[in-house]
Amino acid sequence: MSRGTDLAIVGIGIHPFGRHELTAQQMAAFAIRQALANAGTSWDKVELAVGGSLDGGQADVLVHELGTTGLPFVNVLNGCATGTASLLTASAMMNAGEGRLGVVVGMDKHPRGAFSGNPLEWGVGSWYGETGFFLTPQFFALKLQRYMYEHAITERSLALVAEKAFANGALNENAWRRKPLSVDEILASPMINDPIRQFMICNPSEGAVALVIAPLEDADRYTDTPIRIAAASLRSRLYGSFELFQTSLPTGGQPSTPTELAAAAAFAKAGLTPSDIDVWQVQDTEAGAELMHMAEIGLCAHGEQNELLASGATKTTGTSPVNTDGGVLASGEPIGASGLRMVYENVSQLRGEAGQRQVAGDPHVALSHVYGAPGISAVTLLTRP
Amino acid sequence: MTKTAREPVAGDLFTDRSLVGGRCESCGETFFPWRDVCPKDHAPGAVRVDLPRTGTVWSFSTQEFLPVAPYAGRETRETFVPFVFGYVDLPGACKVETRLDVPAERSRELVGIGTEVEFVTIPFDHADGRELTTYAFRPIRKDPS
Repeated sequence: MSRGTDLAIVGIGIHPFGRHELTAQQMAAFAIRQALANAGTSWDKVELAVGGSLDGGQADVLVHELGTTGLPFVNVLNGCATGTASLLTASAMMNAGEGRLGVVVGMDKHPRGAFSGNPLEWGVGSWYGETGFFLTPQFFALKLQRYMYEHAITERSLALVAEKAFANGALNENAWRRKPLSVDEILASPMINDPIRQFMICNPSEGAVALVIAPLEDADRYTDTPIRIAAASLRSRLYGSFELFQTSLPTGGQPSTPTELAAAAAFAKAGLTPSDIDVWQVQDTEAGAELMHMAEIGLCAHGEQNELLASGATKTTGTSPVNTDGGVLASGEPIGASGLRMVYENVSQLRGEAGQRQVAGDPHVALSHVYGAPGISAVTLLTRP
Repeated sequence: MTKTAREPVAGDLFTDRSLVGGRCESCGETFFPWRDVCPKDHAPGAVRVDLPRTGTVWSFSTQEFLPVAPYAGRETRETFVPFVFGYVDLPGACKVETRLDVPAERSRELVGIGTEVEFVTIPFDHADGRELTTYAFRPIRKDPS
């Protein structure tokens, strides 16, 4: 992709995650108003908008609530990567000259319990669902079980990931799960899909996040602390990669994962390397996903996670803070909003506005990563100019 | 004893002897279940092949709670018995996702990664009343000596 104008995030807004009486649209309108106020501007000045939701309705309907100004408003849906796909789309529109002030919004509201769906829409036969294979946690459990075998990852490391998530969530007023849990409590929780236990896996939830974006050269009109979008890259899977809902896989080794592809693309685009990153938000659908993705995005080598977690390196006080807002484990996962929540947290950290969760050392570069069905990943790199 | 004539949960997945996969005539890739277009090189015209009857466990896990729809087993929350599933590496063919026919509480011991397993069919009682079979793999029984 050719480089266009440098773009910046100049305003952020969030509706707390959890379970609420409000509709997804109402939560999204709340987040957008907060983001516009944060940027010192208003909806009538917005020249383009992009939004997405899986179960919360169409994002462009929000104009009925915010103002029917005739602006271009594109709806995006890419599973767990919906937020990043929206940010990519808005950036591309801005670089194509569609406007100089944009809103990106993600919102969702899911039924309780595990995600469900129609296997036929995912390219597998109905027998696959009928006989009990169409469950997303099963994939994460199988990937994790194999990973733990190959890299000697311990169950205690999984519990340390979850313990950190709930500790960070307790310090985040926008998180859903705000009660700290001990390693012992986590390891004593009921098994869901071996080796994943109840307190190691996320639940569908509700929430909304909005960003206001503008060319970096315009940013001082809106904020004293613009955050540059250094790169946003989305990739789908290569043949033979182990992803969700696969009846068979080739024998032998595997190609690069979507996460590895998206991270490599984003680092190349931004001219950065993993050693430049000061704060990380990675997809933690379950505790093992966080530690596997840590290696896939280049935070550490495969197998180093036991030591890193035991040393506290990924806590907010550590050398490589991961999921500083409590991640998906503490926030739940409203699909359309989840990726933008990570961007929201990274903007807060880079601005130095993360309160009790603020990482030390004056962070300048932050990474966020999402992963989802049917095998897609997106990585966003933000820098403080 | 009369053998009940149970039908398979879907046609074209397996016979009494083995899984039925597809093999691409142009690149040789093997996959499960059969489909016309090869998932690797996208050439049409894949042929049906019987997959190896034995292989090794590549990964495994347990399903400890009653799955939501589209699961269509006849169990209720009260009668549901956790089951085991995973991928089995069939040498020279592919890895297949499958049930593993061992008790969930003994899965780590009985179907750990690398365990040799063989193809079996097992009963599947559908919520709509049909009594069907589905496929699974089970640790190879060592002949008592």
